[in-house]
Amino acid sequence: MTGDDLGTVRRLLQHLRVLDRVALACALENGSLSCLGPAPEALVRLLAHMGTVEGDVGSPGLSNCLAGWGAYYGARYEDASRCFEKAWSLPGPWASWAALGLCKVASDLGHWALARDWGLVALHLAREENDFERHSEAAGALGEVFLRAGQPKLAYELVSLDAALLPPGSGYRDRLTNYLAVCLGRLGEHSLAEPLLWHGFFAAREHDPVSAAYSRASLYVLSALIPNRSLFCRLEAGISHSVASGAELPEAIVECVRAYWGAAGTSGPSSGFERSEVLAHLERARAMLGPFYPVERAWVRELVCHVAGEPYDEAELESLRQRRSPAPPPPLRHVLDAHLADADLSTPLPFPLLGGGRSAGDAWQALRMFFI
Amino acid sequence: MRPVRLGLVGAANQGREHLAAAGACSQARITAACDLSAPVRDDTSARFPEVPMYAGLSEMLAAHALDGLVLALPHDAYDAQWHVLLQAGLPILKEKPLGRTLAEAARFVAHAQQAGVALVTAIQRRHHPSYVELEKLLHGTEIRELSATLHLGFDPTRRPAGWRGDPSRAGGGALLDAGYHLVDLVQYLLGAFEVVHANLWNGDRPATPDLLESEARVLGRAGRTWIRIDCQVGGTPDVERPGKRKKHERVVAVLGDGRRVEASRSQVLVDGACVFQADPSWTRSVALQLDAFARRITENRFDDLDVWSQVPAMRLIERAYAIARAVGPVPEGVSRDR
Repeated sequence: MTGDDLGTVRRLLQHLRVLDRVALACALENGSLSCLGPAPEALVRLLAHMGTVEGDVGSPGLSNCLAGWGAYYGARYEDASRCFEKAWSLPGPWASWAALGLCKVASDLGHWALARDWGLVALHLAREENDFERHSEAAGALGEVFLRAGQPKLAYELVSLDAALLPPGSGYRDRLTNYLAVCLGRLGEHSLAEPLLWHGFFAAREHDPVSAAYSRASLYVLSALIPNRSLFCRLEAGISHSVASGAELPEAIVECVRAYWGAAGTSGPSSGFERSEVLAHLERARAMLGPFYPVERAWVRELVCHVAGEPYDEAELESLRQRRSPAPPPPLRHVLDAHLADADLSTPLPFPLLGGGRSAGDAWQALRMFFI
Repeated sequence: MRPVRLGLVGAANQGREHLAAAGACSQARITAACDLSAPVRDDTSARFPEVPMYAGLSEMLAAHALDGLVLALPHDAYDAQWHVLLQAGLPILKEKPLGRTLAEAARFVAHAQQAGVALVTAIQRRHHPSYVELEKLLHGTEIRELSATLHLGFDPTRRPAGWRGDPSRAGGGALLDAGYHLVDLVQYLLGAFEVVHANLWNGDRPATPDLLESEARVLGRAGRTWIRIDCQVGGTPDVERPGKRKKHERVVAVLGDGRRVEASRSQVLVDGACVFQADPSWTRSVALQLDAFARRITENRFDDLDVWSQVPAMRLIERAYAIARAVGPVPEGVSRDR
């Protein structure tokens, strides 16, 4: 594989960033690429290759990287982890890409500190390779990790770095605006977050409906965090909206927020809610999440137990614990990223997002942990 | 050889640092000082009775034959007085920042050129023995990463008193104030660099133009060297002094061969081994700076990069403000108080 080929693959992966992972997973699993819309022909060929062909695509390292991403987007986290680890063990220019993959796998499985460590490796290597695109990706992935781990200030710094490095016209601006708004919301800057989310929604509605769905879902979450029932009511009544293909996560979150408002009155949790309706919202959320987003799925399971008045059996949490996570990266002497490496993300898997023994109120408040 | 005779304009905190350091100078002497404020004059006279004190610049100039001026005024005091200061026709050592904005700095430089007055910015770290040693170590060496940190250790939740607490008078917060030192230090160590990204914070809130930043973080590049600047009015909490923040100042560089070089005002380390030690106080470096200014006056030498790099420093700071405010948090038309 030549440097030009590697550049092509990187550009293709850049394009993948604007596609939703669920849609991509569908394509890989089913061999059907129609849901990708007007993807470039080269991308379609690559995806077909990734989805159907076993073996070498030029070099074992790159081949494992591609297989790792294919597995990751298919929610086969253990396979993804093994492939990325294999790619990482083979020296080559894909090392930062493999490290980024391991960061994403660890993040999806709720291993915040491990995800941070691999993300920092990717960031470090991207800088050494003078690869601004990978640097931007790694910063964005780390932003997500820090947000989910309850460090919104560091998350904001990383997401804004991702935004600063974004090439003009990349098509990713609206999503980053949304991410910045989510960080601001977590920082308590609700009056800044809300207009940015509305802006993101209207800006993306025509050309990037998945991004618009994320903005809308973030507005729903904001209504619960403030909390502001009138905002929730405006969202329910005001936006005509059809579910975009690939927007399962934001739609699942909207269902969770509907359940939240069903379960909690304006003055706090009430026993007068329609339990069956709330459970229906939560079950719809779980169905939308499917095999993806295991941490979020486990959280919804916890909510179902609270609402149904059932004991929390921790089965979902235990299965999450049982999943194979990536091996830790080699130690790195951080200079530029020392403040990120030193941040305390030592919450045990996958707390504080999940916790069987906590109150229903605390469980609902974990809504703020989602990064969408 | 007769010492170069300097007049100090502005005899409050920063001016007193110059007065305290002047005693250690070999080539410069502060022969007189002036300040508009009577309490400041009284206080400074009590500490430095050997230095004659005046209420105004004209009285000081009338009473003393001077070779240069040292300006240590509040950031907002220069604009209205600049032409008066230039009319003295003496070389000027002006406390940083060169201006509150790039435009103001450029105006000061242009007016000084028109008046034929040499203008030098006072940047102590360029003269501190530790950083001079660090510059020697790094010179001509491949540097992969460099991180510069300055935490002042003040209470970041307390709004600064007087002009420093007023954004329009101060011109900026941590980035313009503490950050100026680091931007200049990085330029001194690496040469010109580019700002890639910047964040401004007021505590845990993103800073807005109407809210002076208490923290600034800048990511930059010089050639293939990545740079991080972290300046804070406060710092990390000091566990040994509850409620207090830690003062912290350090430059860390990773060289191309993997060696790690660390410098603070007290020492320089290479891979953890001390290779240089210095007096961490400012007195020595301020004295060296005054002597360097005196040599410039004696040799009439004001056209080197140390002088001209101050406009690029202002440009970098302005760029960092622009980037931080462009990315967020407040896009045009959105108000925090909405």
